[in-house]
Amino acid sequence: MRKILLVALGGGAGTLLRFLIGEKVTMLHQWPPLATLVINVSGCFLISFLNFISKPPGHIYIGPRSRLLWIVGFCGGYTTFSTFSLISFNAIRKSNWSDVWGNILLSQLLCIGAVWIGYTIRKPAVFMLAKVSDLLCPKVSSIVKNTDA
Amino acid sequence: MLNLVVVFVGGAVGSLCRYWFSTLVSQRFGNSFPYDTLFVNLVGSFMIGLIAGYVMRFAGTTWGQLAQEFFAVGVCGGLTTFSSFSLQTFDLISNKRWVAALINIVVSTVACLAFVALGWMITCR
Repeated sequence: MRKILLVALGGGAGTLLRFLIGEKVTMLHQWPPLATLVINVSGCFLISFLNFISKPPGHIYIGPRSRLLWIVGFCGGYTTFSTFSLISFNAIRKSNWSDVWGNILLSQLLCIGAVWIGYTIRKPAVFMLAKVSDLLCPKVSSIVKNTDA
Repeated sequence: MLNLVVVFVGGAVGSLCRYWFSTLVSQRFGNSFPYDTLFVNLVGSFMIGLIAGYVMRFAGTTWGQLAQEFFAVGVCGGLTTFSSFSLQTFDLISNKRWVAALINIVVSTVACLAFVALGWMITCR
């Protein structure tokens, strides 16, 4: 039951944030794929960052419940494949081929790139987080273990 | 304000369905290939196609707007995911399973697009 609540809460919050960011980006710029592109790329970075800092040699503990809330719920609800496909479909209907290819290629490349960035910065990020937590609350900072410091 | 509630509830429902579906699919088909994410993305893309075709008739009305926000933004958006898809593709790449990674990208993109088109054709007429 607890699991269900965590996934629902994370998913609802992620979806709400996607809706709000989507409206803002659409107001700023009219290119149809842009809003979903921004959302998917940032969500891919977040899921990769959370996933890799919690794996060896990252060692920041993210427990199964936090994973349900943040990775399954929030990141999953925040990013979307259906709108991405719908945007490509709408561009095809208008025979706007540059938008079709632009949407597909940019989404795939930038999202994999965002995951790669999250993977690459996992060690320095864990190191920095350890330093910050040492500085702010030395007593609790044992939650960050085995950094390469 | 109402549309924020509608989007939140839709997203929660969609995310829960994704959690259930992906657990079922990975129990059934295993984890050697990201079947779970492919499955939820296909279902969500088909649904958003159905909705896009159907809601066109109510374009401009408050109900059409709310239905679109609940089903398309909320449920379909919560059900599908790009983040797990990219993370799993990256995992395949880092395990040097190039062909599987390429298959995952191409099949997800093309099949989801086809499923949007299918859903749209069913409801738009």
